[in-house]
Amino acid sequence: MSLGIKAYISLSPSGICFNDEMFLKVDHYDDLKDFFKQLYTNIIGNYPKFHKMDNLSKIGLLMTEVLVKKELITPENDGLGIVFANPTSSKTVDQLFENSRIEEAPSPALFVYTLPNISIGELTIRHKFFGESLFLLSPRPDFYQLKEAILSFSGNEKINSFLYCWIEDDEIPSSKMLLINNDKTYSLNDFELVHFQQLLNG
Amino acid sequence: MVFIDRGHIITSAGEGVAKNAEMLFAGNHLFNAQYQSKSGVTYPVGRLEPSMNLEEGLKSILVHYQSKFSDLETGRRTKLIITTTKGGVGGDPNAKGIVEIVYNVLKRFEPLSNPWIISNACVSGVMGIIHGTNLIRSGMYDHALVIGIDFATDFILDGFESLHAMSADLCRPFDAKRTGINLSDAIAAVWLSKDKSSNEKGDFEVLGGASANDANHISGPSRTGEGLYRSVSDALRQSGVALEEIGYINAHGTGTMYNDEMESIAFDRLGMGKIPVNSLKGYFGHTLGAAGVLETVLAMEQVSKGKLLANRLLSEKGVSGDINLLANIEASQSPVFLKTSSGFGGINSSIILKQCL
Repeated sequence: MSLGIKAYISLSPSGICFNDEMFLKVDHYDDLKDFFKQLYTNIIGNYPKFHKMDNLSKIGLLMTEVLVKKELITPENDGLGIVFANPTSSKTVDQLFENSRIEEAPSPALFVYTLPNISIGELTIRHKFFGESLFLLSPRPDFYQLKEAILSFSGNEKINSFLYCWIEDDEIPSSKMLLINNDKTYSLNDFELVHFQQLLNG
Repeated sequence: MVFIDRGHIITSAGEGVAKNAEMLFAGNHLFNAQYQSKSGVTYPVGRLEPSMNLEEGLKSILVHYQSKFSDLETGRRTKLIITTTKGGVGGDPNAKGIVEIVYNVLKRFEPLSNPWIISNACVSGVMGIIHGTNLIRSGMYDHALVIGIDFATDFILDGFESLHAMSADLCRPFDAKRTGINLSDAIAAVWLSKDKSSNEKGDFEVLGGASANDANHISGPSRTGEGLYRSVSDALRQSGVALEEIGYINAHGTGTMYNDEMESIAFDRLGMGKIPVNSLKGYFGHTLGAAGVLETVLAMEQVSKGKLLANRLLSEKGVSGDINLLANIEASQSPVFLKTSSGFGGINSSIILKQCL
């Protein structure tokens, strides 16, 4: 299989980087809500239901938006296999829902986000991605797991590109996204574990 | 080719496929407890033994299958896939998370390592069987153990109640008077392999499977059944099976108005109106991340017995799509069947299995 990394996006407290270049810088933010709002205003701007989403969904939507804006992913396609992974599932919204349940009444608006794969669902809705999706709970970004997922998705012959996101549900923004397809920017065969770890942990 | 064993299950009715199947064929439901919500409504629920949780459930299944993977070489060629939504945990910041629990259990079950833990809402189980099959087909593994496990915690029960999706009565999938879902704990596992098991009769073959997104709504099913239509179409293509060969559809059929209606539209659009359909949720409710594995095991049981179960409590068809709902136990006409599931996030998964003759 001749696969390569087409693009690399990272999210950190200083903003969003696209292939190691600053795509959108965030100078200062009060809290996570403010951080995501600043990015939303600059990158999306016209999708108000963004504000109702949990943090995982916001992260997935913002990072994917960069790839769509760069015309690296075509909306309304059925060829994209999406893999998101993290160690903590939907931890933040789980606690918010639990508090609503104990203290007042269970909040349906929070409950729907207590499944981590909703973050993938939200971006498939925004861009009409009809392909496959997979949410894996993993202790750390795992190169072999990603290779396995790509091989498995390839069992569905319509899947021709892959979106991987290591999506952290944390107070300090830190997530990484890779777009992998047949365009040989790097060859996956030559693509060493070390390099993957550098991208995802660096 | 990828073969699938007849599975191993633990439900509120106890451990073992035969015992559970007997209850179903006698027409009994498996609910054994009630949950009273804060709003004062009482719901039927299926509970495992109080000592059962994610850790104990995984141990129990792994011990059951241990002889298959304990050999070092075989174990290294075996992929472990665990499928769950919340794994009985979630909401408590001080409790151990799913990943920590799973990795702790696995220390005692070498050489299994590096599991996939799939958390894709209610399609997790079927998705686990699809990926296990694909990983074996790719040559990366020779075997896969897929374990679906979930618990109807207060967290989940209160959540579905807040969505007005729960039925206080026993659920009645596809019926005109259906009012929502029931929830239950369950654990179910299947062993997938490139080899037919030599000492077990009646294995099935996984012919193929696929998933697809609705790209429509996170918690509301697509009105056109788009994702389900696409996932079944893809599964048929992957399997190389003609529609006429499918003799039975084991549907998702939760018992909510919107879900069951959506499924009927998708099957109608696919031209599957004549194929007998049932949902097993009338017998034990929705078992979330375990549902796909549990229902696949019990679908195999029906086909191998040559008898298809009725949709429990179905008295009047309550969906608009042209589908053939099983109202009584009927003879199975084909060794090939379709299993589907649909879940929050707008994701749908379908697999096609065939009994080896």
